[in-house]
Amino acid sequence: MSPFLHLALKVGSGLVLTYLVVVAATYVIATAMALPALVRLRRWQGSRHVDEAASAASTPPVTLVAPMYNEAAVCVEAVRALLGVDYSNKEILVVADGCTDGTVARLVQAFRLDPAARIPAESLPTKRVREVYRSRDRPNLWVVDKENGGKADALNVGINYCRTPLVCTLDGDSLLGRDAIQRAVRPFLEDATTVAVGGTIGIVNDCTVRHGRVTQVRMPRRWLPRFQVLEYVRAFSAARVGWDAGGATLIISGAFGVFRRDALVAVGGLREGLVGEDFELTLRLHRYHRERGLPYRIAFAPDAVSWTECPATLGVLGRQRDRWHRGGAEAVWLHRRMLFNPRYGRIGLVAMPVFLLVEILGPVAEMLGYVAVAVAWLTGALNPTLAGLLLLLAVALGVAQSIAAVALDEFAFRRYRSTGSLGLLLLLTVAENLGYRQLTVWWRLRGVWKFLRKDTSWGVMTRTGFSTAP
Amino acid sequence: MTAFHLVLVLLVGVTVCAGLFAATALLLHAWSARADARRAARTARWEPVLLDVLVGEADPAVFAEGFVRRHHGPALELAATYALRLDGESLTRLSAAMAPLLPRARALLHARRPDRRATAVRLLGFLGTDADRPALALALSDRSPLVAMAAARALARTQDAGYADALIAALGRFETWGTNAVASMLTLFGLPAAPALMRAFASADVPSATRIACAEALRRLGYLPAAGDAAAIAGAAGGVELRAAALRLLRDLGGPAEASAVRTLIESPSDVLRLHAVSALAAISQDPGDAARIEHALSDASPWVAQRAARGLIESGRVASLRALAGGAGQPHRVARQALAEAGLVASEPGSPS
Repeated sequence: MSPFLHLALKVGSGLVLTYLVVVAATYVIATAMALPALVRLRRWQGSRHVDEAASAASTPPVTLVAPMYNEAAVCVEAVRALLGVDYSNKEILVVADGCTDGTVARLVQAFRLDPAARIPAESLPTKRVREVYRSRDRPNLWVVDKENGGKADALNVGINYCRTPLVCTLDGDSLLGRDAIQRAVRPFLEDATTVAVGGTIGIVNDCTVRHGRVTQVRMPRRWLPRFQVLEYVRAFSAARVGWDAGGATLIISGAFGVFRRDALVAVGGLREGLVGEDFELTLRLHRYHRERGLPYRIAFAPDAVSWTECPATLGVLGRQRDRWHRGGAEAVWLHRRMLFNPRYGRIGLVAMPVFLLVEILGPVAEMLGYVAVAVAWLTGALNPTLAGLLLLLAVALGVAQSIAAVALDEFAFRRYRSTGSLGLLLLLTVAENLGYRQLTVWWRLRGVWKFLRKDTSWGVMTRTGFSTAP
Repeated sequence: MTAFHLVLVLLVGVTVCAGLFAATALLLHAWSARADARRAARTARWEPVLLDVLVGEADPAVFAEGFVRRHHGPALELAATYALRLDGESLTRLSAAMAPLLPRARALLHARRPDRRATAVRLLGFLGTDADRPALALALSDRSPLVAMAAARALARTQDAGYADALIAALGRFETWGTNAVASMLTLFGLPAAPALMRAFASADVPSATRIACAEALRRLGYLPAAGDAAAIAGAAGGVELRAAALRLLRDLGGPAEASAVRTLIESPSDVLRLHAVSALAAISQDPGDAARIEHALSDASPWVAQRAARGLIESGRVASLRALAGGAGQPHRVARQALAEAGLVASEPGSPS
């Protein structure tokens, strides 16, 4: 073996090892920070009743904005869910984004919608609005039918037509938990500087849905959604709680976030032409407030849950993951000025660099590791025992982190209540390493490649509809 | 130690940690399931007796008989969920039933954990006696702001206006809380606290956020004598939010006597003041000149002011002029159409609203 190759392999393996240590340290710190935060949450749950807040007549009005693009299969159930949310002071604004599958017709029929006049209160630039409808039976339900312009454009229309101080952005197929808005609004009541609050996303596949409400939470029957349940538990019950405890919430999912309307207008609404508009918006809110020295808080409410259908086929999941990854890379690139910049505090110095290193470059590093092993094996420089042990160590770290997240979820939320579900979750922490994880690495690498090629396509998400109980 | 040994030690360590985490998850699961089952059994046992007490079919004294000490906390928690929804005689009976258990809540007032102290003040606020109020007032200065806030709400819930001044003086601690939440809490005192609220609202020495919360509480309480002070504050130089709060109060509690103070603000350069002035003027004045001013506001540069003007015209019964306007194509016409349609007074025609 040439001395150059030997040196390259040595440097490469050293880098991969260092990377592994950094990633493990990040996960350990985030999980360790999540634990006291969840202990606090659980303790305070006993002395802060949601019912008490609801009866206090202090709940600020909220507009639930649900953009829909070809959601005919789930739109009626989703709107019923929004109407059934326990929050008295709400208006529902469905934005049909140039639907071609009869979404609007289904809504018109199901909710007896009539054309109505409604003047936008703001003027964020958007595609043309074709018609505004209002329900005859439910005066707080509005549907805005507009030309297709993408999710960001649809949400901007929602912001323009919103008349309440708080806006809740949702996915078209979101099923909000019964008390999700009460819980998501609480940070706004407790701290007047709060500008945005993100909630937890749960997976609704194979759960029982009745009258637009998730009445029984179950693990999905198929393996692909099951793996995603574990990923969501890891993300929402551990990682985001940990980051929030450190005052560095970086992402508010587009599927469920509550924002102060004036803050959204101040930053110019959502940016169009991006695939990760929710992440970019959160970064822009941080940037806007920090650059102007304005006091603000972006929080995460782990006990506020919105349920959504996750992809059930490899094709759709792959497209979703590469889009998410592109979105993350795109947002970090757009706000690269914040990276390592003390002006942006812990967001610029810690949260964004960690996101870049662990999330965006993670699949690249993992792939480099596989390549280094292959090259070393081909050139005879591989110590198979040591390489095998290192691989096992990397897997064990991932498994330990996942199990810790499951334990945290069990401690604070217990959404999957049966012992079988818990056993399955624990099994998945190991099983996901046998193919699923490698697939996600591949999809994320594809995302990096498409980002470098400036590809901003979304792909198609196929909905199967909820399993609705009679 | 070689690299091999180092990695091996790390692997064993991480695997042991993973095993411990898994065992923790399983133990938590079993413990939580058991706790749920116990809670359900306790509730099934206690609830029928509690309901009998509430409807007067059982003596309140019987409820706490035979309770072991470890059940005092859960029983109080169950009672608190009822207390939240009860008032009057039922609440009195509930408090009487829980009286033997209250020493547990009083002991928690001195707990190290702030959530326990918050639970204690919450329980004493719902179920405590007059003797517990000084302790609640003391908790207003608790080192945890969340406990202080729970104490404030508990104290307000007692409806003992004698503590209103103490609570208003402590509001500076809750400046991060939204005005609505603070006002809602102050409203719990009821009308007897209105003079104290009015004093604070009118005092220039009180922080602006507190004055705004007091104005909001007075508005919610419907305390008519506050209108005079509100007119003076709305017309005086000062913070926009405070003057807007005064205008909101005037909208609900003012009369023609205060219209002149409001009228001057219709032309204010501040959108917020114009909006609330239009709203208040529509509510308190029947003067035709004021009606013309409100109609003029339909063309206001701020869509919020324009829409509020339209709603004001409808609320004050001036629908005819709005209907006359609804036929055209400019901003005031669109605003008129929307307001009429939303009030169910005329069906709006299809067409692009933007």
